[in-house]
Amino acid sequence: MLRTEIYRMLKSRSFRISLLVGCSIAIWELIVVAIPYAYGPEWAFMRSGADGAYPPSLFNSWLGGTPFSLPSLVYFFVAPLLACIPYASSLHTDCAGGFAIQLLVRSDARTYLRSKIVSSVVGAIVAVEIPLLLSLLLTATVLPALPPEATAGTFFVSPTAMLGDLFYAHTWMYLMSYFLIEICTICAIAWAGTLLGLVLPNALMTTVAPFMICMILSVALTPFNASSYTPAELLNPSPTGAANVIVALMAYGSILILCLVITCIITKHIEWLQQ
Amino acid sequence: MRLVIRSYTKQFRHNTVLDDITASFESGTIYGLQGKNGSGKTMLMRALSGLIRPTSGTVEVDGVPLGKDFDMLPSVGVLLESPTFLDSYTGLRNLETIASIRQVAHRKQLEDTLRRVGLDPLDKRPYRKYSLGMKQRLGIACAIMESPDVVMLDEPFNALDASGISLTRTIIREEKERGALVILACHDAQELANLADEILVIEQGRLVSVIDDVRKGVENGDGL
Amino acid sequence: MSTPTTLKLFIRDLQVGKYHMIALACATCILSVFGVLSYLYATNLALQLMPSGFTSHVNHDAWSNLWLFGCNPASNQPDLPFSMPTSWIGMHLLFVALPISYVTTDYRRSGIQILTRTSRKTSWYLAKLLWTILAIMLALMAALIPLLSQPSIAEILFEPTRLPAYASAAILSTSLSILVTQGSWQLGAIPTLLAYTIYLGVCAYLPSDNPLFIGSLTMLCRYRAYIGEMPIACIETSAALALLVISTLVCVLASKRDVIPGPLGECR
Repeated sequence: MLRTEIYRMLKSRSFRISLLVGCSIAIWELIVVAIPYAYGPEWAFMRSGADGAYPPSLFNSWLGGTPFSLPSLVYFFVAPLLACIPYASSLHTDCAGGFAIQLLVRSDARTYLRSKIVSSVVGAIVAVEIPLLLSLLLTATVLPALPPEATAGTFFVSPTAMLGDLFYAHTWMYLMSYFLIEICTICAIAWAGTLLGLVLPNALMTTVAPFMICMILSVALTPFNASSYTPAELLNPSPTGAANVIVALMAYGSILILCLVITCIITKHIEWLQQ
Repeated sequence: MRLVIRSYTKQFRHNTVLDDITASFESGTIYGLQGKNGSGKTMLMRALSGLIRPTSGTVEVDGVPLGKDFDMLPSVGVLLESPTFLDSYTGLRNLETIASIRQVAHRKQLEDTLRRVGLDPLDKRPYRKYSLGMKQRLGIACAIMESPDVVMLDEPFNALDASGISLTRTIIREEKERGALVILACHDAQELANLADEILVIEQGRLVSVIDDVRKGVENGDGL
Repeated sequence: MSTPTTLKLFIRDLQVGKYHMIALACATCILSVFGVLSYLYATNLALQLMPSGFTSHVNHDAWSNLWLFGCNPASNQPDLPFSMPTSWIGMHLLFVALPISYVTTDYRRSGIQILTRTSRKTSWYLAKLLWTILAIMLALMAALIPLLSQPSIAEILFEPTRLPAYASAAILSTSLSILVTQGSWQLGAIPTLLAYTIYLGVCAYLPSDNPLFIGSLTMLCRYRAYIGEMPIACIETSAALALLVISTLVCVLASKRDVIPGPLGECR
């Protein structure tokens, strides 16, 4: 059943829309930021290293390295929506339409839910991470991967940010670690979004609800100086605020555990999956 | 195969939808469920297939209760209420998607099943463009495509034209001859009398009577 | 038997869609309350840290979570950092998402029954348009209540030298939302919402001297550059009325099509 669900997710129009929009933003970043950095005359003095200026590098020109560029801001803002568009509403659609019955009688609630959630999470991860990887690869074709320099003033990861010292010591390790943190965050968003489909009235609200919750969190956490723990900040490899990686992993880990508990409860109440 | 439902009661909040139902079902027999709208026929089918869990009572398959080694009947095909499939897929693709779960039926078998119910396996139209009768036929095809041990059909004659009704009767008899346990819910008493070997009459969630000599009754011209 | 007119359908929508209206009003009110609480927290913090008064930077932070304040456009000045105005975008998305949800649900439940009983599809569309306008206006009034509780905010909103800023921003927000809702009926809800979110982000980022980015006119942030020297209220009101006319025309034209486009395009 898992293979069936993943195949269905990959072939769906919404997955393609999400991936297309994400990749378009990555290309947009390449055109308006990376290529001007690489070839624009105004940066020629930096490329040559004149006046002691540090030349532009891959790590401060890709989608995850320029937190104040428009494509980057837009991308990490809509990332929760891009994560839920592919497959988060499919559980709602199946249950509301009665298609879930055909799948349930051929397996069981646990297998069905597991397949649905895994494919929803996989779709979310692919939709959000592929554009980032694409941006990294495309930017690497025009800019060298010069190691970041804290004193250069052109790298936006503060040494006090989450894993900031790792960024300057082992940049690729930092990026890999950050991708893992992003996967954890996306997993929480997609899983919660899928389960919300059982209580929300239609597929549109199911898709949009996690994104709206992320925005509400962003507003609600700002007064407590905790906006760096919002999904938009956690998904951005160049966060603008300071955050503790243990606190972030615990927070999103708790959400994942809560989702797991709710999923286990649903498997005991199979009627909830039917019309 | 022997399917037994023992003292089965199901309550939703304070509403009792099935009340102390006990019955047994054998392979190679057609059982009819007769009752008014809302009497509990569909609920009984859901209970037998494992789609709902009992408030009390059990469903046993060859002596093994559901929910112990398995949650659902091991081999069942269902048509419950209005059939629903994926809108953007063709009929064949919908069946392939569902058949890929158990991987019991291969593509040729699915194509043959579609022809058997009067649909064209090469039809490229997506499901959302199907007429109501075509959707019903696809639902029947989905229920029988894997040659399951138990076939449950809830109002299979809905929206079918005369040829469709005749085809469905033939399919039901063929399934019985194959050795399947067929459970059929229908509000048309005459249709049930023609097809079923045994009729269970359900009223307000209770099993009020079992007519197990349907054939004799029909031959004698008894009204049902 | 008389066929339902637009007014009758509208009255029906008021009865059937009242829960969606209430949900929209509550959600916008909650978002507005969060913004006011954030404003109070920031000003109290500033009082504790700087008892002699506020710096403009702290004052800006205090205002930034109020939904209609918006944000500074992106600039190179280190004391005016850009951050996505979540409250402002959230409010605009609420104005669009909940009406789309109601129209979708109503269409699925009883759209065919109602449409077959109206002599013109236009009546159904116009009734939905009127319902959406009323729902958004009510939500904006609900969002105003927490703002009025703060005298300093109320002074900004109702300066005597210009039309009430809130009213003009409200009209423009409503009109923009109507247009986007209409677009979702034709193009599909998810792609429209995604495109609208990106559009709002771009509006927030850029200075509002480009008339294409009309959304930024609903922001009251004083650092924004406005078009020419025309009084901003006139620009906003004119733009709002133009958008309203355009969206009504789109509504009427869409109703003339042979194929009924469902809110999620399910009739294509």
